[in-house]
Amino acid sequence: MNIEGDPKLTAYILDELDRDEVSSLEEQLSKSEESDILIRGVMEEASMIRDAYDMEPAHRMTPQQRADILKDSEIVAVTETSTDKILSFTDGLKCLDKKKVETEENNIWKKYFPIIVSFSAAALVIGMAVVLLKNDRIGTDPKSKIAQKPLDPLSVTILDSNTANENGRDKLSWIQRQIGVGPVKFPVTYRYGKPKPLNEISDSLVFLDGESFRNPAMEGQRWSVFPSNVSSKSYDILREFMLAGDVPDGKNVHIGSLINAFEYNYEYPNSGEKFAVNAEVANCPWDQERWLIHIGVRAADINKNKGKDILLVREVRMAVEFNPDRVAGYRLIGEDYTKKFDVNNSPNQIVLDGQTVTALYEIVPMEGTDFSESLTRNANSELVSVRIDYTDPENKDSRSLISSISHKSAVAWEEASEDMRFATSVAGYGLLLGGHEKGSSATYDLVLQLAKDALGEDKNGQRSEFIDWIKKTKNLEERR
Amino acid sequence: MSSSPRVIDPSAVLLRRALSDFEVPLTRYAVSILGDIERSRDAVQDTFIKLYGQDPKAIEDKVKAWLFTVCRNRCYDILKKEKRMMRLEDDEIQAVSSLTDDPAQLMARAEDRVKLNSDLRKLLSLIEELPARQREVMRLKFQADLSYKEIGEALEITISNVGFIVHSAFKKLRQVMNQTQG
Repeated sequence: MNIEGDPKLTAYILDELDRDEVSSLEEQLSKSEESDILIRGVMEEASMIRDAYDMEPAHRMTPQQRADILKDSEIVAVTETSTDKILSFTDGLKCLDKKKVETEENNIWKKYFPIIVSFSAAALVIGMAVVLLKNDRIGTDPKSKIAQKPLDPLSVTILDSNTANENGRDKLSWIQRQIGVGPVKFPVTYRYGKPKPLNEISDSLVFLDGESFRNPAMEGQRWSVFPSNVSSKSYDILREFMLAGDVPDGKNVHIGSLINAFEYNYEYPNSGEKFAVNAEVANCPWDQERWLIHIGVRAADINKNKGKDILLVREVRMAVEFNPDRVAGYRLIGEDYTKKFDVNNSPNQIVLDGQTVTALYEIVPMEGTDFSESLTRNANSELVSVRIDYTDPENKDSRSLISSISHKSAVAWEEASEDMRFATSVAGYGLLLGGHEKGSSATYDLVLQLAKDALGEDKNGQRSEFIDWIKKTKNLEERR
Repeated sequence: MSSSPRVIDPSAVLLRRALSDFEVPLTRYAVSILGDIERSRDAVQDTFIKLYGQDPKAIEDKVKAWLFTVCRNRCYDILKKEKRMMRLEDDEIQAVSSLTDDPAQLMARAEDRVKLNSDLRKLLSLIEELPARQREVMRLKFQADLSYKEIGEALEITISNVGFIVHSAFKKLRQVMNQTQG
């Protein structure tokens, strides 16, 4: 077979073949010595063509045209916990009294029409970004919709019954033991243009206050993969030390593990979708020059096989692409950023139904994208996008889901959700424990206040328990 | 704001999603057909207004293909209305702009179009020299990021036809680049 002359090879490289075709083609390719060179060549060409198209101006409609489209389609939403409040998105999440709205049912559009029309394009984009983040559906590639076939999920048998408990926290630690590790195959594409080639390794990092951050403009640094399942072991270590009246060494406590030990109230995906991405951006409470990006992923819940954990998807890769035009540097809180990381060799991870994954990034925004200016400048720019690649265990389909986070969605940390403020508190606590925040204004008092103000419902008392640990740690550290 | 609001109007959500994701690629696509920004913006605006009138459940899974199909039709309607051009049959389009086999002549034309200050600009101008159908498919694939299936739906051709067109365009570009560089 002349593979070079076969449109199937091009389709294969562009990820357009179905699974059967892929396996039959891969078999043929394995017999061909020059296929690697060929594939690499076409991939490079494809990437160049994308880049070439990217050079065209990003044409848009006028703000007035956009406003005209949106003016008749205001979204009205009801919060799930507080049904007597109605939120009007285009009005910048202004709370309205539901009763009042009901009595004026038919007048609501007329009533708010002048407000809507008077909005600047900026306000509309904020509304849009809020909807985007809350619903997690903007930015989702239609391809990533799951197959129409009803799921018949694989059930996973818990091998070590001692580690399984009702709050589901520990199920993550056994996953790590039971599931092997292997590379996830996916094409690396760049949403924000190709990164610059790396001449010296030092180019890949930027420095602020003596701390280093990855530079997304450079090759190999654009993408950051975050783990899709993390054990809560660090929290158990912390609890043991606390109960014994001691403070654990920062080296024994992994901040990512600590953050993921807590339950968060992330939105569930819409029916038929596997994941919902809840993302927020706020400035960092202990360093005004930095922002925090809080990414909360919720996997779909399957109401079958009660009592058993269901393998929802496998070969999962959750990753963030940073826009180098907006982000000068970033780091995943808790990540050892001196380690080189290869997007192609991230562990083969699985996700169980209903599971949540939390990742917190510290970023150094580009100069000129001051927090205070974020609501007026660079109107339509994305800060980052989150991409989740996975394989459906039922039909073996590979899917990916992309959500983008607008630069404009940034808020002051005081206005962030309870989930984000709580995760921030845990991160700050972990950094203090590890002695990483000596130069900043992070203190146990600050993280304590953050956690106290972000208790939420705290159904199982987890967050309250953590508040006790912060107080205890503070007292113990002061006595040292 | 501990819990997230539940959205009541799925059409409005769909519209905002679509605006956020596809405004730029759609406008670029419209410009590639109409050649000017003003009319392209109108075509894109009409497309989004039409989207809001759709039943979200019916088109949720194929929003992208739907948008490009509607936008494309809108563009051709505009062209027809203004009597600048009748919609050509595919063969005629192929005949109007076909890639010349003489690389030297081709490069000269490419150089005329844009200053050759980068390989990418060169590549972009070479793509613009492809036959109309190939050009359109390439743009939908690599700029708007449509799948073969979505392109097939938008242009009313089969998936394997899309694959063949992409493959041919690649082959042609590679050939020209090799010749001009070597």
